[in-house]
Amino acid sequence: MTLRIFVAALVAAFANVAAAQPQEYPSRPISMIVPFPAGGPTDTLGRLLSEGMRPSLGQTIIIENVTGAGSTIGVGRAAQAAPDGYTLALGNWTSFVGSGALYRTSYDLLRDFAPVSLLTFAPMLIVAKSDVPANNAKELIAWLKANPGKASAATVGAGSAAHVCGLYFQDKTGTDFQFVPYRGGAPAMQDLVGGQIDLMCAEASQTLSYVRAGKMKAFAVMANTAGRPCPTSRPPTRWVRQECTSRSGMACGCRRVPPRRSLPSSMSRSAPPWPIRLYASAWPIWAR
Amino acid sequence: VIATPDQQTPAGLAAFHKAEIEKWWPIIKGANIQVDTH
Repeated sequence: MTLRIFVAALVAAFANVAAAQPQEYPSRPISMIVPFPAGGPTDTLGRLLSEGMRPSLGQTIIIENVTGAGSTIGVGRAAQAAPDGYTLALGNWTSFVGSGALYRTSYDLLRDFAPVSLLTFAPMLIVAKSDVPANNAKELIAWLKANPGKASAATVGAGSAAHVCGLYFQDKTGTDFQFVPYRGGAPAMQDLVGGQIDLMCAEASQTLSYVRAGKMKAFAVMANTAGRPCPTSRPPTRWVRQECTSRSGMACGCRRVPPRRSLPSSMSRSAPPWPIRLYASAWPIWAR
Repeated sequence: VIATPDQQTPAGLAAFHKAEIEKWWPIIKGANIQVDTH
């Protein structure tokens, strides 16, 4: 199994509003609900995105961190907002796939949101606090087997990517450890660095700086490959090799850089118009 | 890793989102994960 999650996707409350949109959208500030705490990977991406979209939209995008219940509180808030394009939700696999399978919600993930844009993917890494007495995956499994039920692993709620990843790891390695739910990746990282929690399955984007600094250890990638292999060339798209990003050499990938001013043709097939307006604003940010 | 240009469109996200739910919900529900609701 490969657990390669999408880190972020931008959606908006949805209803039959195709004909209700004023031509001058957006004419006032837009709210972007991030259903995770400030400082986590989704929040960080949201702040970069909102800043980048501001010039082309001509309006400010205000980030609102609405956390709790496996992200369903924030997503629910977005679902209840007026379907006018002025309330967006920036979520990830946990908020728009995993939690929907477990929590009883007042919204339908497929019916109540208008998709805007899928943004990024990331493989899940298994990381541990720096003083765990293991230096590779084999030693980690041996340590966990020698201490059944004693180690603790952070999740960002039941059914989150971190939780599903941890369950899969347990199943495949015959290990047993406890899960501790957090409101988001940022507080989980704080406790992992502080040594209050032992393990976590987490995205590379939120862990690699700590791994590089020696504040936590990385053991495995829960994916067949850490990133797509970089083709030598595929015009008109440029491929830029990124640096290998961890001491264990796990995550080495490439970033696809679409050419400017060449939006994919499929965008013109979608409606209503304001997701397109938002998408057209968000898309060029990745080309920088 | 940045999503491909087609996946970045509203239609691309819609198709991807639906496929992810169809792939993962049976696995998650089958894992008998309990949600702490108190």
